[in-house]
Amino acid sequence: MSRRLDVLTGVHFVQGDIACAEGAIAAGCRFFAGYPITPSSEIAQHMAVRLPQVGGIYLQMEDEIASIAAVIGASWAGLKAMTATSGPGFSLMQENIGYAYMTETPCVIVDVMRGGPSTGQPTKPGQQDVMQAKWGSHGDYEVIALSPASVQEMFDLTIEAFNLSETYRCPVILLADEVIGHLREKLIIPEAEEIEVVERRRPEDLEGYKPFQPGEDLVPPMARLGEGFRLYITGLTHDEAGRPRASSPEAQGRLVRRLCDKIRLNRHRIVKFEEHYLEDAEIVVIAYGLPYRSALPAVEEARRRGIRAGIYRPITLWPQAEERLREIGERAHRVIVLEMNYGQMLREYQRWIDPDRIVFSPSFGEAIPTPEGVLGLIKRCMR
Amino acid sequence: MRYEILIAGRGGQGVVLAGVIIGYAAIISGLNAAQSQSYGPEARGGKVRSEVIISDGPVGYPKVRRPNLLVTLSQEAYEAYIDSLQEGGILIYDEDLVKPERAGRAAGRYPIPATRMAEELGLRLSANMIILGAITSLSGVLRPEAVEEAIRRRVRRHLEINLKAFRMGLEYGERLKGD
Amino acid sequence: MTHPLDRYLRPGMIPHIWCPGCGNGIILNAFLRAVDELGLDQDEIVVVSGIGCMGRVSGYVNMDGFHTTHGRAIPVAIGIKTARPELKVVVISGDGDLFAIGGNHFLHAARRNVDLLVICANNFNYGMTGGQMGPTTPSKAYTTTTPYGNIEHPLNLVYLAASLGAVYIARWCVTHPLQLKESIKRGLTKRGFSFIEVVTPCVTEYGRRNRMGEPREFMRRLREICVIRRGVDPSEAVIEADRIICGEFRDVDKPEFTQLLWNMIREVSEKASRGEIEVAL
Repeated sequence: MSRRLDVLTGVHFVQGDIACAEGAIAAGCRFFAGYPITPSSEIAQHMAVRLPQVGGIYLQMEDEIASIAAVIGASWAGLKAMTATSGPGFSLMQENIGYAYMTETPCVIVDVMRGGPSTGQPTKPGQQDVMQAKWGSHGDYEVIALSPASVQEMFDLTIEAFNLSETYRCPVILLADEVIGHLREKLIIPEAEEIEVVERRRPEDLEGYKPFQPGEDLVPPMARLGEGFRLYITGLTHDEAGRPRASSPEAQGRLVRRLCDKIRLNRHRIVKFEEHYLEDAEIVVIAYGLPYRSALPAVEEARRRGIRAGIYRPITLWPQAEERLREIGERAHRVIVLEMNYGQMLREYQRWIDPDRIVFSPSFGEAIPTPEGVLGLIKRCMR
Repeated sequence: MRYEILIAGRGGQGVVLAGVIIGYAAIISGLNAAQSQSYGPEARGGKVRSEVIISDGPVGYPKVRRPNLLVTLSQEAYEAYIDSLQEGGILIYDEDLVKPERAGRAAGRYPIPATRMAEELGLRLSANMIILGAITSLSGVLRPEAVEEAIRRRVRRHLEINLKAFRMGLEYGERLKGD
Repeated sequence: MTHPLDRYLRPGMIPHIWCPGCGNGIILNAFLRAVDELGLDQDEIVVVSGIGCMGRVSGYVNMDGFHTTHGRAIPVAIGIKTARPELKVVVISGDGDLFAIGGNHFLHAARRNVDLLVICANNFNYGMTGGQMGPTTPSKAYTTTTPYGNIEHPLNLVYLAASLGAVYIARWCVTHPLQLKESIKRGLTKRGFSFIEVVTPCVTEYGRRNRMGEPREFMRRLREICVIRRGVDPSEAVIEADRIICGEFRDVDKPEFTQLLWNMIREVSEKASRGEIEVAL
């Protein structure tokens, strides 16, 4: 029996970080460059074992700056590429993440979040990088970021991250947290044929190809180095051929608009969320990632007690379903926002939902919200 | 059904592996499980806790709050967690390492000289397998065959001694239940 | 009228931004002639550069060109080289880019012995940003950020490369165009981490503040102080205000990173597909 070495079909009991690495390999990732940092190191360690088995490259670099730089180089050399880190390393990567947006380089960046700022709480969870994911680099750009809430989703959403990255030719960020990264749960890896994998769109021929000339979806097909295209890849503002246009306001406007619009105008294809019991909900809990797992049982318990509670969970943190959130905000009496930070995504919700109706519940470090705690909040909102 | 197990002790006692095997055995049995662990900052010998939730539905909140079953393998762990035990829960402790001064809420208190038994077997490191046997017997949520299968898949070195230790723990647990 | 090297220059990118009297054009010229004389396929070369005057070179070559962020040319080049070992990957950048902001990457690429040719245009200051002090600025020299004279000690790039175990190390001045070209040919054919430092005049910034004179005068001065020595140890490669020792300082062989990496990948993947190592979770 010949068995696929890249898709380990079966039922497993593994940590979220391992599921993430396996998802990457199943999605076709064949290049990983990273620098160890808790709580993401298991991803690197697993990649070091697994990538050579499937003919892929694992590199341990001298720092996170070099890691993302090598990922960008490898992506242009034609490989699906990834790095994984946590908050401090994510900060070090930010300049080159901006470069990847500017040069439209597909790659996946995993941030297994811990408490900050600075060294903070390396072995404890947090959701303190959600704004860093959006605004961490300089300049104007739009971001795709995904938020897994289980070990299974560490696998599924890593594949999704690669698919989105290859579709839109941009970095895609997976924002996990320490608990999900280290938690062991059931992971079901399906048969390889059941996994949808998107391959990079390539130029049809060499003649007249411009590496930054978009198609109708605003995304240019991507050539790779060493194929005779004589690419010029630069972080300077450039035209469709890649030539620097650092002084032209028209070129700057055209490029920045397209880099943003290819995400904004395709938002309906990118946004993912799930919601439960919202039809008649008077109290809506908004939670993503780990707190969702406390909120859902709390909402179910509230329902059993006759309280009309519902739950909304964004799966893409960037972008989000603004229109849907506005609707929810108009109908609900109270909206409870749970975050493992001191109010980051809250600011976005305050733009879409009447801030007077929002009850914000932050949590810090290991003191993650419990179902009892969330139920208590719901009951208090009923009064 | 949601069944919470907390195993606490010191580094080097195999606390984490015991939790992993319980979770894996639950998966083999067609149940869901979530396992996690936390350590002090020491690389060796610090405080360690391993927690497992076994559930027939999705595991929502993934952390243990009120364990149905608590295992303490150090006095420090006993003091730290005895009050978290659920009303009517089960306490298992290594009688050579823990002096349970306060009864807590435990309905059943089960002393077991796991470390001593493991030393007599010639493999001190198999104490966690003895504990695993006792957990399997006293909790009743997992079939011993599923746990044995999980041990076979997760334990590489000294598999036979470890299996023997597991069966010893299982029998010891059965005897404790009988008493 | 066409120049014999025209086919190596990217259409639409010339004129370049370099000042009259700058030596960067001589370095580019030597590089292109080396490629031409070796008969290399220009579609199998990737030129990676960082930020700065020399950083623009990746846009001027009619090859794959990668103009990275400041200081990060080497790790980008490592990503390319490991992913496509059949490509020749050349890093061409300045002293500030490679040795200040990017110094750590140089250190580890040399240590790993990655098959890259790194050419550093050393003009003793940050030219593009307005003549500030850099890691190779000589002691006592005047720059826009050392208005009272430089109180720091400059880095000797040859000493550094030697201590890191680079397999090929040379230093030239732009006053040695033929030797430079031959040295680049050696670097392009060498397997392993090769490093060539090229001393080059920055007339507009460094030269003006340190009374090096107009371009011809600056060149004449460099020709006087840049002395070629043959067969000397890297430890003799001094670089001082009145004396710069040039030449080839090292040409040795040792196992190369990309080759070791791919040998390992091939061995592991073959064993995995034959079932000789366990692939499981």
